[in-house]
Amino acid sequence: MSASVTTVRRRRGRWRVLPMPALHLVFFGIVLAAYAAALALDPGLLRFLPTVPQLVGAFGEIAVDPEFWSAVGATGNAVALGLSISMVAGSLFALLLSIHPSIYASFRFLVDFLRTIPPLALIPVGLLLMGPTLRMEVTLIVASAVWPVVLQVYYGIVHLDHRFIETARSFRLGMPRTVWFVVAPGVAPSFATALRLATAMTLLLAVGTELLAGTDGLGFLVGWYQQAHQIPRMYAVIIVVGLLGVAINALIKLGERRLLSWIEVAR
Amino acid sequence: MKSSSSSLAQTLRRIALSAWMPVVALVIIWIVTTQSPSVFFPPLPSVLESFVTTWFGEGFVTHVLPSLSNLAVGFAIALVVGVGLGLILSALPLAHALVNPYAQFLRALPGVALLPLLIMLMGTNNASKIVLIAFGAVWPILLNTIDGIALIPREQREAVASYRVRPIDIVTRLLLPGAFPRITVGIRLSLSIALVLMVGSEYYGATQGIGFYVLQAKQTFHTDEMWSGVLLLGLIGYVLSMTYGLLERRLLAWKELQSTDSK
Repeated sequence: MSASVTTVRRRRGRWRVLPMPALHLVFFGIVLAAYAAALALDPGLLRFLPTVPQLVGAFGEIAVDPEFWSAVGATGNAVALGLSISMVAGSLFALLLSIHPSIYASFRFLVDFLRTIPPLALIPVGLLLMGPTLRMEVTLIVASAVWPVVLQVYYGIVHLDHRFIETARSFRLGMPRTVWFVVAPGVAPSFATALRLATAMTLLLAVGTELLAGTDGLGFLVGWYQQAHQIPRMYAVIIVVGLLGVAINALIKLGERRLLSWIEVAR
Repeated sequence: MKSSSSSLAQTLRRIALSAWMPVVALVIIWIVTTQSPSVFFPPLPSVLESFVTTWFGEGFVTHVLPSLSNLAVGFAIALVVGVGLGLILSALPLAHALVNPYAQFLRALPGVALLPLLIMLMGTNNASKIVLIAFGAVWPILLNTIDGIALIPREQREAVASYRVRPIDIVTRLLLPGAFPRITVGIRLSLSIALVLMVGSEYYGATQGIGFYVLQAKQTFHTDEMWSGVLLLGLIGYVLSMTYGLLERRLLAWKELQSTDSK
């Protein structure tokens, strides 16, 4: 893998006239210019698309709007709650499944069925049972984000190398230290994958329920601004949602690199 | 003789082991909902009855077919565009480097957030739903295609280059099969995203589709119809995932063969 990456780098280096960040800036400028040109050529588009100054202005407006920040807080709160509950509950359930193969066999059909229900399908049910509340949003998030965690962590535990555990036993490491020094590092990569999958699911569900069920948050604001014909603001909030996703991904990647840098070596 | 009967017993045991829990769950739900029916949880028999009358009648044509055709068309577009663009971008490292931040941004953007925008741009027709499904599903396939091609061993690419293999053969015999183990990861993710967006697009300004039916049943308090819709969506998800799992195993059979050969 590292070999192919270096060839790509080397080849790219030959093409390079400017350093990469400068190229990115130039490209971003080209994208903006093309966008402005398209709007100038077809003014009919202005009904749906904001001009660049309008978009920048909308960012300025929402940045000083307390409503926007309370929406950021509401979405962040739901995401944090939903994600942490999913990770903890999913890992515990995976631990239960891994105790004995017959437990996994018994639960298998239920897990497979529940995890394939398209999560948004539960919105009407959630609305009916709990109304448009934070509790409903978090419940829906957990109901769909918990399954990738269960499966990833379960496979992580099952695929642990038994020789390591036997070695730990022959050194009389004891249960707590075996879990900490052998099981936890062995499962960590699957746990990281689970976190990544669950995060994507969580953000999708949070924004989806906010938009479709009207719970407080950024998704609600997107629909609200569209209905109020505040189109530049709608785009600004959509972009914020995307940036939020990028930021969370970057954070997870950073944590993975910090904590799991040894995996590359182990492979 | 003896061994075949014991293997039969083993099979039966395995089936019993994986079936007892769903059966027990079903029986419990059946008993609880018929003994103490509530508005929220109607008796299971009446949910099943409405499942049969709704989805095996005209509901199939008015709601299920539009939903499934949007899903199929949207996903097909995502597959073709994702793999095609992935092949092109892998051949152009500089373009890939420049486009990558935008692709990462769009992948991280939850597709449902674009619903109001697409409805404004295209109206509440099937086309806007298909675009939403295709848009949401394309990123995992695209990014995994690029990753998969990058993971093909360099010697294989160089061998192909030195034998002057025709470009079309490079694509169909080296790049696509070589990247497929990764592409299939993207397809799995994309399938579930597509299904989510299919449902989501039917909740927001729609007049037909399974999601629309469920939402309407909820708003008119026909909870047995609502649950029958949720049940149908669950079954569609399950069948889709299992079918693709089987397909994937067949498509990747050569890989397992190869790895056992080399051992």
